[in-house]
Amino acid sequence: MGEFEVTIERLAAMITLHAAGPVDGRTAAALHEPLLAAAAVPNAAVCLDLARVSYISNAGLRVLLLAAQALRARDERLHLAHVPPHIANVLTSAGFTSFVDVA
Amino acid sequence: MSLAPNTWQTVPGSRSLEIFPILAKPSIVSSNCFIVSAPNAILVVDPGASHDQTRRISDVVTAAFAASQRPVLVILTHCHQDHSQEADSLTLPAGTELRRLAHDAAARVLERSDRALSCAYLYPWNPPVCNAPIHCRLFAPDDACEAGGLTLGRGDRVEITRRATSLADDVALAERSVALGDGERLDIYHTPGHTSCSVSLRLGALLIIGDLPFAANPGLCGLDGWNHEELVRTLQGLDRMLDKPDLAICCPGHGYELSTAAMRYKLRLMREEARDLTAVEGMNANRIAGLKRYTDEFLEETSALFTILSGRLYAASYYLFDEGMERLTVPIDLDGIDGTLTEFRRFADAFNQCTTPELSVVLKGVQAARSLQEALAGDDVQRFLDPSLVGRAQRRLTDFLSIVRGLQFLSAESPSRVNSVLAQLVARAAPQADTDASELLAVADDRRSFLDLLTRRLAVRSPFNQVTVDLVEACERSEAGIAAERLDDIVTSLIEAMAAGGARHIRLGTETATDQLLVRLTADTTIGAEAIGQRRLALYGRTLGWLGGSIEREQDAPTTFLLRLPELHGAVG
Repeated sequence: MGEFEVTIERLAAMITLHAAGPVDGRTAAALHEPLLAAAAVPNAAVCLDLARVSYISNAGLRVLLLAAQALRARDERLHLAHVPPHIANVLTSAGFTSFVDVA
Repeated sequence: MSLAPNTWQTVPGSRSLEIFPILAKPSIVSSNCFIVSAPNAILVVDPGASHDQTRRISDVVTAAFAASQRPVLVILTHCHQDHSQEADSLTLPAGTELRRLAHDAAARVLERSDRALSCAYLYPWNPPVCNAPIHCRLFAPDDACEAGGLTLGRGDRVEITRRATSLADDVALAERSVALGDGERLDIYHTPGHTSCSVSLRLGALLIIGDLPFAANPGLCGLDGWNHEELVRTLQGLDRMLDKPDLAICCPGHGYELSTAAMRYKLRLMREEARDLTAVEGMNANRIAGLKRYTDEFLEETSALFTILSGRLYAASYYLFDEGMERLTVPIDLDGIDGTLTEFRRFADAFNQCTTPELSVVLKGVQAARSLQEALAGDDVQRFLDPSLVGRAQRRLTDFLSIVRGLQFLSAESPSRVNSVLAQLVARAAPQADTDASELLAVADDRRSFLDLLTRRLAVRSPFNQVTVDLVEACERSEAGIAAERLDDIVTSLIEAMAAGGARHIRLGTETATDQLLVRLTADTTIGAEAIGQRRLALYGRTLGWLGGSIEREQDAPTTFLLRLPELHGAVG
């Protein structure tokens, strides 16, 4: 396994991306493409599972922002699942929880 | 004028000296090496501590030897492991006469395999100290080496002489000279400070100065053998020397060469820094291990703060721009900040796989802290980012650099009125009414200015509008031995973590217990310990501990933190 991996699961109208590893300046691109591709699928809800994400830097936040903006175009919100507490802390403090759903 | 690495070239200012610089990737693991071809000798300055580099040196010297058979002189700028380890490891043709030269103090350190003064203890793989004989002990009290010269196998001698220095007495550097043939010579100056055995080497218009340019760096000052007085005096002497027009290039022990003008400027800045380093705490294995833990905590806290700072700008842009349309264009290098932190984090991870010395991680932290300080220095940072968050980040960076350097920032801690600090914090956390729109209206005709202003306003809005923070139970006594900003930083971080962990109401209060002032933070729910992060909590505890206070999480639900504040005038170092 590489330092960062994304696996994609599609169930009915929900696309779930399971990320594993740190999301930082070196790996954010590996999340960018599949997440934005999922956000572009019409009528599909998008959930990013962060259970196995150890760390997220501002490069990672930028990818989340772009996905959230793409989903907003069709009145959807990005869902984040299994967010580790220290990442939830950063997302809340940065103000992301006002436009991204965190569970 | 510059030196090209890994190739032979004429030494500037000489007729018949050639130099082959091998520049190692800057680290404390191995130093640069300079191979010099002279008419009657081949010099190897600082073989370093990398087996790969040793093979390279052996190949280059062997080829030079094949071209003209001469004795090989291995010269050490000082005794540290990263410069000296391979002094006995070169593979040279049979019959090569090899002689080692070093300052007398370096010879004594290496002979007794002193792991402290050679800094061999820094490396987790426990490398051996090179204790091969030093044939010429420069600057020894009896001047034996200088009197007899360096004797070679067939009775030949390399002449070594004392030279009268031309510098004013107050900054004179002791000097020796080695005859290299054809009128060429190697001048050796005793330049203590980084270590007592440090020497600088002059060949033509080129000066090799070992690790002097790093002697005031956080994490390096205070190492065994470091001496403030000697360092200041050496820097004065070098300043005079570098002022001479007949010197052109300066080569440090790590990294690229500089022009003498640039090196003189660098050393002058360093002299300013060094002036205040009179009470530096000594560096040893225990302190380095402690600094490594502090560096881990610093990385966690700093990463979080900078990610939040950038994240607030991104969050603002969510409301301002659509995907594919206008992008955030604040003149702040967010990618650069991310790159610095990513590199630092990866480096720290490498330590956990036992491939990096603890001190390397600390020094990487210093490098990252300085880059981040620069990133926060621009005017636009204060314009676009939340000033309270920027202030917190700046204070963490300053603390880190001071602590690593061994300075007691705590002695400068001025007492705060705790109730007043908490009252201001509560006022800041209160939901903000929409502010005056006149500023926005004034720039409404200019789309760029309007978006900039709106971005700024959104970026500094507290995301904790859904949380109420109340100050209850304020006791009469209110002064404690902790600076207002430091107390504010710790309490704010805890409130943010509690809010992110699900608290909607947080109560603050002050009380006293056994003459100590306490601050109590109580959430309206129980919050997982991991919401705050153990390392960040450890950092707050460590900082309070340095001052004579502490932080604890009470076991009872709901979640409560108790800060025991340092007593007035009770600060400890």
